[in-house]
Amino acid sequence: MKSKIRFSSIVGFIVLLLLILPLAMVVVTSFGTEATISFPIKGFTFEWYHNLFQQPDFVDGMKMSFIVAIIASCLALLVGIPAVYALTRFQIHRRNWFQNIFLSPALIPEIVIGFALYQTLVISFGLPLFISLLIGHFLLCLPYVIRLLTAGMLDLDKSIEEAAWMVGYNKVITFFKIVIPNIKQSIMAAFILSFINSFNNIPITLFMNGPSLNMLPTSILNYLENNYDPTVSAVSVILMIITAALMMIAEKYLGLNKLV
Amino acid sequence: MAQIKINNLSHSYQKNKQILKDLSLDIHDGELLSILGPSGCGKTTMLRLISGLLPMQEGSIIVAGGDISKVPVYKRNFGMVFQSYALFPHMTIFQNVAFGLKRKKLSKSEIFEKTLSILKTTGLLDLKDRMPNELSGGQQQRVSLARALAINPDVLLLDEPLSNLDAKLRIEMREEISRLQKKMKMTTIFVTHDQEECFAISDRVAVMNHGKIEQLDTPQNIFRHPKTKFVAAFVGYENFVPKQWAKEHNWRYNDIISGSQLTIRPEKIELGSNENILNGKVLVKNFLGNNYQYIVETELGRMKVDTQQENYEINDDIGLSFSEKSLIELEDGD
Amino acid sequence: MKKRAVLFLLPGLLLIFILLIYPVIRMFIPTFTGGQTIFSNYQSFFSSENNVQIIFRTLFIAVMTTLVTLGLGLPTAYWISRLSGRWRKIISIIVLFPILTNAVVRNFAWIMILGKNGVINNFLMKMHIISSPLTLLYTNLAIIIGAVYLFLPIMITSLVSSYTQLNSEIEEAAEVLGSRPIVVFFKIIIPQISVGIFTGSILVFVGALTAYTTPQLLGGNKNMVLATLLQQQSITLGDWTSASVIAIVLTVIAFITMIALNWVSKVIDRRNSHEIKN
Ligand SMILES: Nc1ncnc2c1ncn2[C@@H]1O[C@H](COP(=O)(O)OP(=O)(O)O)[C@@H](O)[C@H]1O
Ligand SMILES: [Mg+2]
Repeated sequence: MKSKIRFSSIVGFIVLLLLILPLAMVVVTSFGTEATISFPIKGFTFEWYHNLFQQPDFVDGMKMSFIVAIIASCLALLVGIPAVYALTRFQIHRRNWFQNIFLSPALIPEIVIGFALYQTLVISFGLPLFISLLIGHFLLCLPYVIRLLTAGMLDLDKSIEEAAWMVGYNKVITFFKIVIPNIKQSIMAAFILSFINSFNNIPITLFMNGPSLNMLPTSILNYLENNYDPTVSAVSVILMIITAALMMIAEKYLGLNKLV
Repeated sequence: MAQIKINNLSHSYQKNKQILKDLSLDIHDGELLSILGPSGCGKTTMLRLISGLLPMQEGSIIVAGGDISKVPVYKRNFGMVFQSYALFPHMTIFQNVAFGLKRKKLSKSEIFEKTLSILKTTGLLDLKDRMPNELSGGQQQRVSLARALAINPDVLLLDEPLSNLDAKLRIEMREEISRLQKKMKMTTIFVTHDQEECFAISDRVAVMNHGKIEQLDTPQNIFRHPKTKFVAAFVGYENFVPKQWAKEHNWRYNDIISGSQLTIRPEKIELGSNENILNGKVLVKNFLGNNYQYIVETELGRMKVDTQQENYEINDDIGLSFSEKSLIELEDGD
Repeated sequence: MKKRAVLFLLPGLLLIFILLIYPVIRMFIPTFTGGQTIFSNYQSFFSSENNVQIIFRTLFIAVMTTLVTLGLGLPTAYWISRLSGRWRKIISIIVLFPILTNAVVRNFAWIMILGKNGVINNFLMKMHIISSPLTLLYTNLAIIIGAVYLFLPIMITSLVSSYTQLNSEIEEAAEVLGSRPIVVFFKIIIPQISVGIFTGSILVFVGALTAYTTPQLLGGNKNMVLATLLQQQSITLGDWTSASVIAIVLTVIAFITMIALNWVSKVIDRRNSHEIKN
């Protein structure tokens, strides 16, 4: 017993270090004075953060990624909430089938989704890049919404809706006054997870960005192909701060276990 | 206040599997009628049909002279108390109770007054600002009752409201329900599988089996004169005697009732008297607190006997006797 | 009732069919036309030694990543599941943070570490262990390291939830009977967390199989995998048909492994519940 715990705690400790140290190094290098990334750093400067905000690709990309992530997450919630309500509350023949169709975007490799959407939506249908990109990110977010909300709905006692009908509320009002307030946390968690995944996505975004449509992750990828300076570290730090902020919100209002 | 007529109600969830079979039942204005039956016999199904939570398939329900079969659940103005209490988790006790009143065309102060008054009647005034998860099971059930009563419903429906409570609270709550029902003179349907709790508070009892009402009568009559073997067994008659056997012993049964069985309660049988009617051998002896229960093997099968006598042991040969009057005639069920 | 269900499900179903399933099916069709037989495109794809090598590399990387994350994840998750309170929370945050951090950032960190002038080479040169820098970056090893870093937290998370459900009394019962810890681990614990192991393995394997960013950043042009080949054929070379063939090969491999692992997991799960009943 003792030895097993000791062994697993040693491995566990090393694994945790391996998980943190690389990210910690990125943080440190973002303050380095040399023109190429080096560790340990020789001097301390904020120059790279300054430089970061001079890069239109990064600034515009950040804005665009934010907008796309927010719209895509909201769309996924808009489509996902009624679907989950129907899947968990109505008698549906072959419920599993429908559930799987709604989860299907998570079963097809993201890069394949990106490629297929580009061919059909952009090339054949001639949809604007921005709309196609939104559709891709909406599909990416949908499975998260379906999964988290299904769990939330299954936790909710079905009779509280019936109790509201009994005292005189019709089904629509009951849905908004009774169901929505009680799955608020699941909705929040689904939004946060959708947002993060959309904001960080590369494989789908890859096919549908362009000179007029910069997205942050692909901009960093492009920048890295030609440059190797601490600006990348600086932008990485910004991304980590965003992640940390969202995690703090999740922890404060939902508890982190809602996210996994 | 309302009288309810249920006519020829049938229901099935799947094809070829009827849960309710052509069920008819009249409930008088202001009475508390219990539906008593074993789990799975269709009590909840019936209550949900009456409430409108389940769409009707066959039959009709008339309330106060009007057919409500097609009236949607939220327009029926019925109160319902759920087994799981079903309180709204995101509202205080006050808000839970006031929720239904907000649908009515009432002023803010009227809603406030009415809610306070119902909270007072149900003894919940001190808890009005708590959230549901801060209450005990018994308190939650009280809130559930208060919420149902607040809208001044025409009919109150209770689906095994006491089954999640411990024994002591159960007695307390059933008396509370009975008190409020009498005070408000509300037509009430109380569903349960517990014979004792049902007899204690009901004006009349409908014993239900396999989607049919086997007997509808006052608790006293059901207890004294069960009509079928199922009802008899459900209200504590343990011993069954073929009518043929009684006739052979020159008893008076002349087929007034068409059935073939007689029944007798365990406490109506005496052990070891002089005029033995049956001989048997003691198989089991149990101490039940107030009395002993013997299980005796006889030519009529195993008979259960409840008695104060304690001087018999397992394997003793003993005689059983009972009076003609204690035997009750039963109809044959189907 | 029926009508309402349709109304609620229809928008989502329509969107998925028109915007996902239709494009994916449309992508399939040209791969079966334009050649002498319907499989011409596939024949020519598989006849290229380079392509076959890429398939094997992709599979190799996915298998290695799964095995390494399992090897590191099992003890780590066990340790975490035995913690409670404050420490458990802090460590959960440390594990969750990378999952939610951009993959570019996480892979970029390893460019810094593995590069020619990276942390490892610098350190070894300074210690005079080596005289010229080792080639660590742009190798299969680098891709595996990056993928392990990327997917280890996911493996840990699914294992922790499995361990947490584990009844520790069974384990203690085995110890009371005198089993050695290592025996207890393999004979008692592992079979009971098999569901977590398979869930984690499916997520990691399919994730590593289809990952784009990691091989792109850490593998370079020489060490292509199916995902980067797909990107190259389509975006860089504009060869839609080849790209579609690759997309289908990738999708099919991912589906087969998902279905196979799911099936094995169900069989093992049933065997377990059976054993417990006896
Ligand atoms: N939604 C349903 N779908 C299918 N069968 C049901 C459903 N609800 C109840 N039943 C079946 O109907 C029968 C009666 O159930 P119910 O009315 O709940 O009985 P009770 O309340 O007397 O225990 C049971 O056999 C039950 O399995
Ligand atoms: Mg019931």
